[in-house]
Amino acid sequence: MITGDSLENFVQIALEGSFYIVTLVFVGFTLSIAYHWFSYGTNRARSVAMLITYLGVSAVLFIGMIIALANIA
Amino acid sequence: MLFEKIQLEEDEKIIKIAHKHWFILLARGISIAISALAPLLGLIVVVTLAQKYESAITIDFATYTAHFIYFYAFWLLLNWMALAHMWTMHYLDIWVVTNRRIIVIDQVSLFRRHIGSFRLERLQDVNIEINGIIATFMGYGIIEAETASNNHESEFRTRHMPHPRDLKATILKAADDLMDTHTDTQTKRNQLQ
Repeated sequence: MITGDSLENFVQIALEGSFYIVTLVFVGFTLSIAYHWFSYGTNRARSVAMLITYLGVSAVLFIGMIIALANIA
Repeated sequence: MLFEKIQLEEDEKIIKIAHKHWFILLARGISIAISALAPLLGLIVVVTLAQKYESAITIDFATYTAHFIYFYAFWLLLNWMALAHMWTMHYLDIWVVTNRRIIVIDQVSLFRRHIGSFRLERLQDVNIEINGIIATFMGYGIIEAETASNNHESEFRTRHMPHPRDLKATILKAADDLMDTHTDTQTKRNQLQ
């Protein structure tokens, strides 16, 4: 039987699960694009700037996700 | 980096590196931006409707603020990764013109790339094509280089290249300069004999 508590638990588990999955996907994707930028890019300085921007914005989004997840719990 | 992998010859100099036109990057970027903003617009519509039909719909938005922030940050992260992927494709799709050869790199997807090169001596023809109003005003088009091989002709073709006329002129000048160098060398050899 679905109760309010069991639904809340399900939502909590689903959100945490989605967080772990997206983190894994993000790490794999970041490693592959960073490899491409530094292996096949034409300009090292531009690759470094791109990586810093990419990781900086991603960090802000991850912090937002973590804070929201903590508030849901 | 790329040129360490390509291993340029001793006297080989890079004349031009051409990426695809920035307008293509901008157009694709706008589509990702629209996708990123869609949930926010959806929320605004829902809130407006809930306020309008207050008696029929009762949603306590304050309870779900954290849920929405989580979902939206999650969505933005996916869109950010899509933008990074798009930028990578743009950054790695290039034509490199040197004083000896042309190297064409076509980054089809993250793990699929075509790398072709041919020496300028083998260049037969360079064709350009500019189709449409936007391409004409923004100055991008298709460039294709035909080369002669033993039994068949091979073709290198890329869309959305910026200022294809200038690129064509650069390639033809590099080919002419190389031919002149060969002719000078041959003349000197003949004079010595």
